[in-house]
This record gives sequence, structure tokens and C-alpha cells, in this order.
Amino acid sequence: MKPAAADSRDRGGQAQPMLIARALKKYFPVRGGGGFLTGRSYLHAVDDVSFSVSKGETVGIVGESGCGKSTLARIVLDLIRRDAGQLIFDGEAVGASDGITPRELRKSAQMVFQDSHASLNPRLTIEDTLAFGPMVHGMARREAVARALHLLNLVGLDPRRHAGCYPHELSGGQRQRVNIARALSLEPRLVVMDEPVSALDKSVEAQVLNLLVDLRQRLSLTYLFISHDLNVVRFISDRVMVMYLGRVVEIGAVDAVFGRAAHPYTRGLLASRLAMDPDKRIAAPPLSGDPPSPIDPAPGCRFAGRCPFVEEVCRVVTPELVYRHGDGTDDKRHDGSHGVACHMADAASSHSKAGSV
Amino acid sequence: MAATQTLSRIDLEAAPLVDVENLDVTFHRDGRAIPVVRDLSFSLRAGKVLCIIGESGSGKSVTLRAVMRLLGKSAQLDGRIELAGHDMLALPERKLAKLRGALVAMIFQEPMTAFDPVYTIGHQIGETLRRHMGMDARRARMRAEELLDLVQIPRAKARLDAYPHELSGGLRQRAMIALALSCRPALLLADEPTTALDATVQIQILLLLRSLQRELGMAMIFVTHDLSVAAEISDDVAVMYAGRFVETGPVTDVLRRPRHPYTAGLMASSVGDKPPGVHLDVIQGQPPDPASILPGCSFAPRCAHASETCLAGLPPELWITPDHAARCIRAISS
Repeated sequence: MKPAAADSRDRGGQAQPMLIARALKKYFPVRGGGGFLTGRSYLHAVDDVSFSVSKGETVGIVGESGCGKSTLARIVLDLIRRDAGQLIFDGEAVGASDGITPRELRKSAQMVFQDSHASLNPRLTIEDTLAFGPMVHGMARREAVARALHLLNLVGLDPRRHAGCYPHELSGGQRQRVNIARALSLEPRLVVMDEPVSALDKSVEAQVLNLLVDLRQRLSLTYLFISHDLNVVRFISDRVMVMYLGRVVEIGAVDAVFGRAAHPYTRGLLASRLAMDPDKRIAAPPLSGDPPSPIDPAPGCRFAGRCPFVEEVCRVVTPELVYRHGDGTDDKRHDGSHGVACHMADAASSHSKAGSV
Repeated sequence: MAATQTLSRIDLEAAPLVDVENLDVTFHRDGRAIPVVRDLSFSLRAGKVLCIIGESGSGKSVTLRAVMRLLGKSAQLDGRIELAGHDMLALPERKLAKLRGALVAMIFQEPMTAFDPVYTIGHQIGETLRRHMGMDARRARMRAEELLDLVQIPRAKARLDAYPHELSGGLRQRAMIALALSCRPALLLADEPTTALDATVQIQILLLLRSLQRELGMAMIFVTHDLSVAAEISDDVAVMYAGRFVETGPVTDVLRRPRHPYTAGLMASSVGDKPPGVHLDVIQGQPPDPASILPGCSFAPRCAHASETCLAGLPPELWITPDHAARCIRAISS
């Protein structure tokens, strides 16, 4: 990660993280769930998730379906109201009386979605789509249109050819470029991307990844990048957070998490990557079963049901993140180092392999 | 044993199980003819796995559906498709229905489209067995349970009474494979069956298909957009671009020494294990619209090495080894 350059829009100073998320929680009540006397069922989408994103940094979030990564993205932009927890954007609490409002947040933080078609209004031309946001935020139409044309250039589209097009006239890759341009139209500091390249063909995926890397540098952007594709996350991120059933199981620098993965789930996920080499075929599945339902999960470690090292303690006590520092010590203090939520990583737990990973 | 029965139906030394020659698929829409698959020829022996690799719109799924004659009336099929000696393009619908399921079966990306949501898994597999194999209800149920066991669905007996929506994505995919295998087809067609799955589940399904295919001696045509999936499962690959095979050969040869610039470009643009932040070598532009395809090499407009010759006429298929071919004028010199 390159150190962020000073930016006139900074409120909290260069070293102030762009985003701090503390103990975020979102449970969705499930219709028809629960029985008479047993109470309602809840889908634990995001459960006690804390992390921070520095200025100029890209944090990747990986996990399988149902792990809560998309809900987390929406909570960060206040598109889904959190049940509990705190969001601090550049030093200011979101939604607090002395902080910033969600509307102010969305001027500085924008989102790109997976489905490039569904996220564009089919009845607006590309030019109108791109001018819409700035006009809502008070810009004159002429200026907004001029900016729209500039944005098209920025994302590698030809204003003369594409400004007057409707979304259905563009290919998937071109539409995703428009979505990226729209996210940039308010000159945000933070862009949250939910599977932005997953629906694209491989050759187009590479073009869009190159664009994202290029824009990050030119506009000194900060990214929160969500994907199920480990290779893509490794390629674009400085730090990565692995989620499983609503909780963070491992977090740290890309090299640490990919090179010295400690959580059995992270290891299984990494070992499930295919090699593109017929001589390196996988002989046995690294993990068995599917990710379980996030509705009313059992107590203890969420991964216990699929974990090859499961012991009594795992089914009773929910493991907390334990952070490992460069000097070999570890504790539960939240900082930028490599954190693992597994009883085997916690020397103080009663797991027979405690402190071994 | 399933394997012996399958093998006895086809003589391994004789003609290939699948023989496709000069296949053209043309869609007719609003009075316009759109060629989607053009002059495709390939063959596949019993027990072998062919992966067709291509991006969206390349014609890979249409090819698969053509082999099973699943395309609607708007599709015009020319050329020859032979499955175990049956001329698929000449057979009447009534006879085709008998071959589907028994000789050739298909699995899809989304299992919910293969199952009827209002019947249980056991009922639907049982129905196929009763209809094609003439089993009575009791035997069909027993066989359905064996099939769920075969695809490694835990607690198979209880799962027979489950409705499709009650199963997780991975189990549903396994149930669909069980349904496809119920009449012991000699050929399984697979249309991106692992694309919608999570990584840890995708590898489970790929390994299951690989072991079933070997155990049952079944041939498979597997369509995917993902080179790494092809590397994991195939004997041979065919890379498809704008309706044509542009490169074919044993998987190791094609992925190690790609000779068509499109294959090489696909490999270079895969993120794979490339170091973070490097500039990816991408293929510029996008695939052509099938309705407006140029006379020469379809890839030429995106190719860094394209010359006048490429635009003038269709490049010939050049053979690098006896089984590795590429449709590029530079295939041998490069």
C-alpha cells in the first residue's frame, strides 16, 4: 500500500482511517420462522464485525454465499440500517448528532453493484444517468453533463459514441464502466464494490480490473472490494477480510492471509482454488458440505460443523479475533495486524491445539 | 454394474460415441438469419471428457443443446450429428425422447430449472426410472435412493422426500446429477454446472463428476468459460470464438502451448496467481455480434498480430501435432 497523499477534503488528517466500523450487527427477522412459544427466527447477516480502512487502501472482503459480505457493504453506505454498531467516516460518526448524516456520507462514499444491467435506469441515456447524481446534489445541468462526458473518457468509453446510448445498447463490460463512472460522479473518497467483475467474461474482467487499479491511483481512491473470487481479491487488495456466516474469521495483509492462513476455513477456501494446470489437479475436496444456513446459527464457532479440528470448546464458545504482532506476541487488541478467530490460534483457549496455528 | 453395461453398448474400438460434422446452427429471427455455430466438426470417444471453453455468446451452450436436439423451431441445424450411430438430425421427436436420458443426459448451471418445484426429488428421479427403465414404483424408489448415495448426498433415504428448494445449492446440484445419471447415459452434457457454486462446493462437484465419469465409463462434454475448470476435468479442450472452434487439442498441450492468440489472450487475462497490482495483458475490445460477422478470422479485429491475410479469408486449421490444431495462420510459425 502506498501512503495516502494529503487531500484537501481530509477532515481527520492523513492518518485518520477513511472508515472505521465497530461491532456492526444486522439480524433480519425471517418470515414464518420460529414456532409458537419458540419465538422468531433471525438471519444473522452481520454479527459483531469490526474493521478499518485506511486512506488510499483497498480492503477486500471474501466469503461464500450467505456470509454477509453484501449486507456489510450496504450497511457501510447506510443503504441498510444497522441494528447495532458504529460507523466512523474520516473521523466523523455516521448518523450521530455531532457527526455526518447518511446523505453527506453518500457524497463521499459510493457503490458499484454486480448486476450492471439492473443497477442502471433503462429509460435514461448514459449521459443522463451520469449527470443525475451531481444534479441531485445541486450542480447545474450544463456542468453536470460536461462532467458526465469527462467521466466517460475517464472509464475508457467514447463520449461521442456512448453518451446518447441507453443501457441495453451496451455490452456488460461497457455497462459496468458506466456504473463505475456513475459511482465517481460525486468525486467520492471511498468506493464500495460488491462483486463488480463477477458477471463479466474473463477477458472483460481483466479490462475492468486494470481500470479499477488505474482509477485508484489517478483519483487517490479508497476501495472496499467484495468478491467470492480469491484470485481477484488477492490481485486488487492491500488487506483482506475473510467472512463466514456473518462473522470475520480472519483479517490481515494480503500476503499474511494468503501466505500464512491460520483459520481452517481460510485454508480450505484457499486450497479450493483451481490451478489452471492439468498436472496440478486437486485429489480430494479440501472442505466437505455447503456453508450452512445463517438462520439462527448454533452457538460457538460458526465453522464448527465443517471444521476437521472441531472440539468441545468450538461448539460452546464463540472464538474472538486474536491478533498476532510482528514481535510474536498476540492479544485481542484491534489493530492492523493479522487477526484470526479460531480457538487453535488463541493460546489461552481450552482447545488441545491451542496456540498451534 | 453400471460401467460394464455402458461399455457393452458401445464398442470402444469402433466408431466414436459422438461424431459431429460440419454443424451449422442458424437462428431465424424477424426474417434475419443469425449464424451462431459455424462449420463445427469434432468427435468424442466413450469415456472421454471434452471441454468447450468460450465466453458468453461464443455458441458453446448452443452447440451442447444441438447435440441433444434441445433447440426450438427458430434454430436451423445443418450438418451431421451422430450419437452412438444414431443420426440425431434425422430422428423423429418420438425416438429422440427415448434417447434423451437413456443415451444422453444433460446437467445445467441452475438445478432449479431442471427440477419441478412442486414434486419431491425422489418422485422426479423415480418418474424418470419408471418411464425410461420400466421400473415399478417400489424399485424406482430403491434405485433413486442408490442414486442419491452415488452422488454422495448424506441421509439419502430422507432426502428422497425433500422438495428441491429444501436442499442447499450443492446438494441440489448433486440431486440433478443423480437425475441425469438415473438411466445410465453413455454421454453426459454439462452446461457450466459449477459456475453458480461457492468455491469450496465447486471443487466437490467437479471431483464428483470426475470420479463418476471414470467409474461409469461415461463420456462428457463440459461447457465452461473458466480455463481452470477445464484444466481440472478435461482430456481434450476446444476453444470456441464467434461460433467456431479456434483451437482444439489435449488439455495439457492447449493450456501449456496455446497456439491461437485468443487462447493465449484468455490465459494472459486470467488473474490467476499474478502478482497484485500488475497491469494485466488484456484482449482489447469485445467479441463480435453474431449477426454481423466478417468474412475472415473473427478474432482479427482484436488480434495484435492481425494482417491483411487474416481479414481476407477464413484461416485454415493448422495442425501443430497430430491432435493439436489451431485456426490461425501463425499457428505453426509462432
